Amino acid sequence: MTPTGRAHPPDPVESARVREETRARLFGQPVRRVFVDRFQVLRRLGSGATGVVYSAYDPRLDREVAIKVLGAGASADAVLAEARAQARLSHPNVLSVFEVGHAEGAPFIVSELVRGGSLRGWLAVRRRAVEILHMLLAIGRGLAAGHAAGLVHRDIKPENVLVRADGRPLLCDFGLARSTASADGWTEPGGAGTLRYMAPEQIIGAAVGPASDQFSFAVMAFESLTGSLPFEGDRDADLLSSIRAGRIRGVAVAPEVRPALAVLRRALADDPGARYPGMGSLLAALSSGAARRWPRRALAVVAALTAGALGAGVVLAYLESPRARERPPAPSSASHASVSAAPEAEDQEATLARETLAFTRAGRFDDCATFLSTRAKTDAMIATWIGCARGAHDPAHLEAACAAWNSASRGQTPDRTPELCGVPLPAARQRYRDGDLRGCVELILAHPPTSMGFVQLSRCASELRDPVIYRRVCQYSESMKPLAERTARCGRIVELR
Amino acid sequence: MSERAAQSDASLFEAWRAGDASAGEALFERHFDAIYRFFDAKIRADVADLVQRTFLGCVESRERFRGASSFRVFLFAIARHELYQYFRAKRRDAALDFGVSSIADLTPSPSTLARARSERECLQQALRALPLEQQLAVELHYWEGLSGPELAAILEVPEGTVRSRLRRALEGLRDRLAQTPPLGAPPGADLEAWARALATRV
Ligand SMILES: Nc1ncnc2c1ncn2[C@@H]1O[C@H](COP(=O)(O)OP(=O)(O)OP(=O)(O)O)[C@@H](O)[C@H]1O
Ligand SMILES: [Mg+2]
Repeated sequence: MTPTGRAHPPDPVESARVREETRARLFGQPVRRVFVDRFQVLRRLGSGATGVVYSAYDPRLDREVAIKVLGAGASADAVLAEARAQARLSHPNVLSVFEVGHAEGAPFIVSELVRGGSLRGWLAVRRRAVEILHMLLAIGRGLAAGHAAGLVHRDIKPENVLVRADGRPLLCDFGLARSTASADGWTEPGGAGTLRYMAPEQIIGAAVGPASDQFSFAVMAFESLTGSLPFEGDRDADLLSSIRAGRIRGVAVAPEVRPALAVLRRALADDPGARYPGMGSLLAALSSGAARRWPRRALAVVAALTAGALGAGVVLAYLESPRARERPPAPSSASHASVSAAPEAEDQEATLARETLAFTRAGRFDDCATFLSTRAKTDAMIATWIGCARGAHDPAHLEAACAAWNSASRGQTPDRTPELCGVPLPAARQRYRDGDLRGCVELILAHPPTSMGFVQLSRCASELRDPVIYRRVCQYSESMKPLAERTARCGRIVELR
Repeated sequence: MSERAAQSDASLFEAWRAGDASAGEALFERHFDAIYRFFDAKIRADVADLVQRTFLGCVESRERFRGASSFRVFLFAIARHELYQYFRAKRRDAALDFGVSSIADLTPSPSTLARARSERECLQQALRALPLEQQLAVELHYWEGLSGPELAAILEVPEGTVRSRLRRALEGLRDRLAQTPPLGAPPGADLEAWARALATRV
């Protein structure tokens, strides 16, 4: 057993970023900057099969951008050629590519930074069928524009549609799937792409064209409208046999969705020649059913908020959603009045939401909490206030906001409050004020985790600057929050003064 | 910093324990890459968290360092503990058996549905399909260059077990890679030599 040489870290940008982040957390220092070319890496947004995406700052144009760094094995020329083609394409539903380049052997693509999320995330919120259909039509127009410019996407899926905060969808990653075969040309039949959305010809590795994109688009549309994929099977053989047999999953849907599903059936044909002649005709067929059949219903502005949980994430997602800024349609008949709030109240609500949004976008959670403390009257706005207080890690605000929440709900929903407010907080805060930080920590740790407890705990940890306590805080938030959020929080603890 | 470079891991570690943060930083610089690679090959999110825990963990459990042959071995031993704990907590299963479960079982991600697109990805997928204990043995030995006794300390098993684990791992890899000509072992090849060649392709 002779030991062998070292391997290099797979992604130099990501490892540098993790190194700086971890160093900052461990040793309580400011995070050092990491650059790709002239772009300063700010945050990892996520990663896929093709590369890692970061938000970054472009000092030349003084703006934030998204930068996708492709794996070092990617065949740079092909990738960059595709990205340049996408850059020439200017369409409201196609992500704008600003620039492409190389950094230490890895090709990268710089594009508009989309604040929002993917279509997958957008669909996680309950949407009306008509909204979903409009979303799909817009995405389809972006895809059609790509086809008109001679591009084939090859990897249509909800993850490759980004939805801007104003609700506009942007199709991204045109052609990336094809061009990332490794430099040595080693590929498996089928190449890249995500199996579940692949056209049958793509699965078997035959020629791929616009009709394959149309198939994938239809899979995505079917999934968006029904919540399930049209064909069963996790492995290529099973999937292929479902497609070949035209075995489209039977799903129970609202009557207004049925015509759209009937339209999609043809786009899901096994034979590319049997599908629609192009995206244009598929979209025309989809939209002809839509406009007539679906009644527009008045929506209460606050529905999304009061129905959901009260986490800051949820509140902010609401604020970023198009509904928060759109004026809801006035109730068309008396029967709707009970569903939606009174019109003036809605107006105030919308104004408040707009101003709140400006604060939260700028990351000014403190100011936002102060702003709302005198104005929040409805459940929705109090919930937003709680969200901002949490974002600001400010126990005083949290306490006040929770008190407002309790008195506003006047005991109607007593079970919603303990998670937020049921902390032995007065005692803990007394210890904190007395300078007994460790005592405060102990007291909180001895009780079930709550968000208020977390805020106080992280404050103590940042003042004590004790690694062991940092670690406890992470464990505490871990038991309280999903993993993704946890990481973000632990990062923030260090920034607190 | 230059005088730091001459200092041994053990003395830096003692200085860090005694409150000298810059000694801790020097240690961190020295060992970050290896620890990062260790986690990056196994989990997608939370890498920074686990790297952080590993370095914190070594401060917290100084006593155990006495038994380890080197700081690096000690650090990898903690990393392995943190990794196991991470999966046990995540799966809410304290009895998870890493002699059976592989990373592919533990984190079934959409990427397992996508196909491997390069030699490297293919090799990584094959590694991730091995029981985690075997994956660790291969990576630490062939990639990180740790010796048999060092592996025994990290994995907390006798050296004989390390050897048989490595052998089984290589057989598993060979079977999984048989379908991919550039990576697969030539018929009758010396597995040991083949694995060393593979390490250069990661
Ligand atoms: N321009 C952008 N602005 C904001 N977020 C982005 C941008 N581009 C990508 N992202 C986010 O980065 C993450 C990773 O994207 P990426 O395209 O690498 O993965 P993917 O779409 O899941 O897989 P694939 O590699 O097949 O495209 C996703 O969560 C995506 O939402
Ligand atoms: Mg993508």
